Amino acid sequence: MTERAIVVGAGLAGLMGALALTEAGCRPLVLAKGLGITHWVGGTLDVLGTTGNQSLRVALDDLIANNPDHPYAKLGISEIEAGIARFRAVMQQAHYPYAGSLERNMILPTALGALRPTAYAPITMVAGDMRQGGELLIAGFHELRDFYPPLAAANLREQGVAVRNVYLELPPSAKRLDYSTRTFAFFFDDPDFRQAIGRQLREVRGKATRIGLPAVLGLRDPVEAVADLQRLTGAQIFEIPTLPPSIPGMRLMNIFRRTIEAAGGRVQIGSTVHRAGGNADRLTHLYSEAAAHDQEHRVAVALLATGGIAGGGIGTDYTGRVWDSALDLPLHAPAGREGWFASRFLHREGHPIFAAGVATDDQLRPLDSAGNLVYENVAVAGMALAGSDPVQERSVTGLTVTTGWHAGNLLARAMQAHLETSN
Amino acid sequence: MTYIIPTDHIELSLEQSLDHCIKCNICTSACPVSAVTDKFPGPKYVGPQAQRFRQPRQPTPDESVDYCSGCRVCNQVCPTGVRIAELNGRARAKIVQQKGLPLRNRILGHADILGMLGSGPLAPLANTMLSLAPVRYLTEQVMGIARHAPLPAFSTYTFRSWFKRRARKQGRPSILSNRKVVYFHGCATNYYEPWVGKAAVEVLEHNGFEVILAEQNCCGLPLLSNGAFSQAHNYHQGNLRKLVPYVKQGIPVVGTSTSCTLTLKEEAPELLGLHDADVNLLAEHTYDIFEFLRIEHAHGRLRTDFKPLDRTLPYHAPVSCGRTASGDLRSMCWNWCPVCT
Amino acid sequence: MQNTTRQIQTDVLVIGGGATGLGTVRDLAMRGIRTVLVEKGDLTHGTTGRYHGLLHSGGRYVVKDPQSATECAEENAILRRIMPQYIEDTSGFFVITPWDDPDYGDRFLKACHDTRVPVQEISVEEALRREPVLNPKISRVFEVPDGSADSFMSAYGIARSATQYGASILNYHFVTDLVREGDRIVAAIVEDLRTGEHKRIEATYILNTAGAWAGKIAQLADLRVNVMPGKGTMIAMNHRMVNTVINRCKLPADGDILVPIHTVSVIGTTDIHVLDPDVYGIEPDEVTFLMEEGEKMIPGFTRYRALRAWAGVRPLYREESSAVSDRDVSRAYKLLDHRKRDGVDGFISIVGGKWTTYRLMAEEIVDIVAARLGVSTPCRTAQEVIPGGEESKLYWLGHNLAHVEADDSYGDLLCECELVTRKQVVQAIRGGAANLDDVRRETRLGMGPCQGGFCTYRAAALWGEVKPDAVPTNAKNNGKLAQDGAGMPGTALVRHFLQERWKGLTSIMWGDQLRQARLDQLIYVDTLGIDLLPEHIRPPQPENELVTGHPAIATEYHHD
Repeated sequence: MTERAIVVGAGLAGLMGALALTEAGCRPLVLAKGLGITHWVGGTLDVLGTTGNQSLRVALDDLIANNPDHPYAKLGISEIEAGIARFRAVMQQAHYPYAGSLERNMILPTALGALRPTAYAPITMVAGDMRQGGELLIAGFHELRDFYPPLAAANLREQGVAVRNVYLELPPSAKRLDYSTRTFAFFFDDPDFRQAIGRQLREVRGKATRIGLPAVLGLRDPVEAVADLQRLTGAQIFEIPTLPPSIPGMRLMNIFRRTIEAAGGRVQIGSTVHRAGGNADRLTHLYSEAAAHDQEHRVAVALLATGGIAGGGIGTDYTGRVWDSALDLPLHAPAGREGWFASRFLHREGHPIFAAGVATDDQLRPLDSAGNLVYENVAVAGMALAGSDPVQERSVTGLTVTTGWHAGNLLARAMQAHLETSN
Repeated sequence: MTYIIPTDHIELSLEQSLDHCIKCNICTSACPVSAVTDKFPGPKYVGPQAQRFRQPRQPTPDESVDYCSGCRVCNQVCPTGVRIAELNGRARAKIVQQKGLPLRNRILGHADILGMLGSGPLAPLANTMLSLAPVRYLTEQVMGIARHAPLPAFSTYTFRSWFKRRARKQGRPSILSNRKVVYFHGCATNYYEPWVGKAAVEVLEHNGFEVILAEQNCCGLPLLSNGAFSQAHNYHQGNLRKLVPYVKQGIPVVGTSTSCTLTLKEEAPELLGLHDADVNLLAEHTYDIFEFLRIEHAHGRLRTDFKPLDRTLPYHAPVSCGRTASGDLRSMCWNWCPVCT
Repeated sequence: MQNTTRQIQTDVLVIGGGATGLGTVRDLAMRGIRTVLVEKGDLTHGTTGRYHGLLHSGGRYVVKDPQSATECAEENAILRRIMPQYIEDTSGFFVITPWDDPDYGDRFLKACHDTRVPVQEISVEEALRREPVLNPKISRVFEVPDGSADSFMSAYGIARSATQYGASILNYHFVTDLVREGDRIVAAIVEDLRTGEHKRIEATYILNTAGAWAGKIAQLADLRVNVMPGKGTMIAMNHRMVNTVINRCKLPADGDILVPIHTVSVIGTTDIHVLDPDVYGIEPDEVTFLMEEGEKMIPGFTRYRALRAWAGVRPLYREESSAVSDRDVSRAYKLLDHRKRDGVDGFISIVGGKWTTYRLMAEEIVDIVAARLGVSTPCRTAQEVIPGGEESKLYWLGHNLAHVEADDSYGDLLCECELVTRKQVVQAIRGGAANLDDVRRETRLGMGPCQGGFCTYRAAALWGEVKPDAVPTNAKNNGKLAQDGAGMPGTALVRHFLQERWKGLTSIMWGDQLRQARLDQLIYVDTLGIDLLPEHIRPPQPENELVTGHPAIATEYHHD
């Protein structure tokens, strides 16, 4: 059986890693238990949650200088930039460009009316940047239980933003009972629906120069949908991410899957890697769960991108045991359940258990508790890494994208070296 | 008819898998049924969510679960491992237990009987009949099969008759080998698309296998999908009787219908709560043909003297591929097959 | 008294809005007696809303507490008749596991007959057929008419009925003082926690039905009522692993009962004496103990998903301080007539007892008061059905799901886990809920697997649309969640409710529930950015001021 580059996990880290491997000609196979983080987050590229006037680049430099164990410190600023650049290039090619910079975070309103910092956002969202002036209108639909214009607007007003809110009337459709974000995305894929909504928005627009809508403006060509609505209303239109499943995240998943598969990689969803085999320093086999017998994979190199606790890559039980569910790598985690949580859900420092993960060397290769290399042909990326709590830092998408890209490139080199020596 | 599902130990318990649901709605956003009809509230709702409100000794509270088509896309995309389609299958079985099987499902559930009636020399007649608008109108009225839904065409001969005819012509099996496989053709190949079976026999024989046409039943999937668990159980027992003796001689069972092989491997045992030695034996030694060839290839035994095909072929991966150890066709063979790179 | 702006006169004032207080106020009103009830939080906010939901057959007490057993058996039959809509007929098994004394079975059987608790021995095979996940190594099984009861919904039902009979029920009213004139208690001073207004309620009789807090209330009148608050910790497991109440057949002990109620199974309980009913936490070893005891009844128990843990305080009573452990204090209730006992008239306390006997306790205390007030109308609570249910139909698990199906209202669910519709939430908000936790007690909002992950945002948003000017309040801080005039009730509601949920989660978060919490955090922090919104609420309690031996584990209650 041929040795392969295997990527475990189809979140942003796994997909970026697979992309790097694909582009290096390694034709990776992505194995994932299911879909995940793409469908849970808003789809912006958050590098670090600085606010105010602080330069993001300076903040990153500080973070790297003061936290040598932080995944970003292992990448360095230029690799971070390289990952972001590649991500943006892929999105650009797929006609879903991201705008922004590493100089200043833009400030986008959330569905709760909070002002949220992000470095890059799809152009369907950037008109929401609060650093611009002008009156805002937040519009939504009574039928969508996952977005409420009055709540978002009330909180924005409280923070000094000039904003109004409105509920729009849903044009008649075949759906009458149950509306999800996907239902609305399908609606917005239809130009006639956009016409009807655009007309309503124009009527209620008033002095507003920018109109925020829930992030459901289509799956097929959201950029065209936004352009359409802008033409119809004469205002700038922007999307506001809301509860999962995330439509912007689905767009990312679709783009990545297409890009990777078109270039010779494969994405196999529904295959849980649950067992591994190796020798002293190399991982040689992975086994994914299937009906009646496991599927065996011979490994040239492997990327562990299983998403930590959210992604299911880290398992825990009532005795306080914490484990890596795919490769059984040693984990860095607080000992004993007593130390897992702060007493308040919104504690500023977050909860220690959520920083659990695999400790790595600067090549992102796994280390055991004594600091010894476990496998030389494995790299770890994304939320499976120890050393940070990306939710708390507001770096979920940035950290997964950049570590995934970096790890994929490192593995591609390792694979080429390995194939040369074994031939 | 009541089929009592035997006790599930926690490791095998489908019900317990509902505990993994984190309500994220990924399944619902991938469901092809809820995309097109309001009548199906989606896999999360009818699956792990509704399951918490079902009590085996009380009447079934919900029927919208019956719109689940059993395609298992939800299982495939679920990030936490909830056996949604199976939960739905069992919930439907309870409805059937209480209210009986509707006529349509009683008929469509028996792919084998339908096939037997329609295929053979009279197939053209049957196919013509089934293409007539008045007939389709009647079937819609009486059975509830939409008159515009495409129906598969019966074959003028069955796969089994072809195989036997060929054996008679050749006097004995075309290849005698110590490497044997039992071919599980399933109803679709036997009654509708015998050329699939012919191709499979050719490929297997080309690779030096003696193909055995064992007696076999319908795998029971149509009955399982319609909630007729008692009858599906009978079918599975029949397949165990007919196939396990071969398995015990070390002969694997290979099928070309992924859903049939998946039923033998996993669906029937899981849904019916069957976990005894024979059931496990058959499950472990049943292979989808791609999975089988992939393993042959892994051991360097597959003949890869392929001829390149100068055309583009559309390929629709069966959903059930996700659960077989081959993955879908493309990820099975993409790094060695010249046809689909 | 400061700020006393209003006086209320009534015949009988009832203190405490748990099952006993509500039963009492309804009984009084049904006999035509003018009555007012005050409760410091939301109804059922004390022990009633914090128990495992068992409708006792009496089986649990047949050996140790025979009087209590008989009372339970009789009340069990009555409650099924008068409030079927809140009771599920789960039946109950007493099972002898390999860890239990096999000889206890015969003692148990005999004691059941002696105490008139209906019992029938069934075969192990039959028990396993009905409850397949039960430990197959059990040796004997006795079936009793246990059930499960919804202590929230029933409280609201009783309260509605009492109100219809003319009673006045005031929640968020905190008793700050009892006014004593000579040898008589004549009035109570209460503070309306929502407005800060103080009221003087004058009554001929004041009834102390404050349960675990009865000692604190009596103290206001300089009377001593020796309530021993016994903390019991429980864990709700994510689904109904069993549909029959499972009891270990042995003398009552910790972690020996599993109650299927609504969509969950509750394992209980521990029993730890606490000094103050307002100050206690859940210790990690209590949770470990309960999980491992569960394993004895249900093999694999520790691998099922734990949903939430909480603790309630039993209102145990003993006459004089003695060395017995809480477990050995009688579960029977005790009526304290302070005229006879302390020479103080106008004040009667009732303590001890359990949810199952709330009606009987109410009947007894009201009989005395009625006699003293010269009212001869007899008690009718054992006959008269509490309105709100379908014709004598017991609750069944599928009820809500069937309802949503019949209405095609699945697109309207705000809390998808517990099937709570937009309409129900609007009704609860309009009905006077002070925060989302109150909405939860009335509707089960946020009580399912995701613990508010999706519905908190939806319900908070809806609150702003239904009641844009109402400032949510919080009884525990005796104050408001949001500052007056602050226009962000939505934020305060979300923060408060998520924190209330969090308290019950920290002690049982591992496996699936930990993963759920991380998803919930992704939603509220990463996507919605709630942490970025200005707080506009009182500063939170200092982080390290926790009531537990393990400072890093959050507790059920903070110091008020």
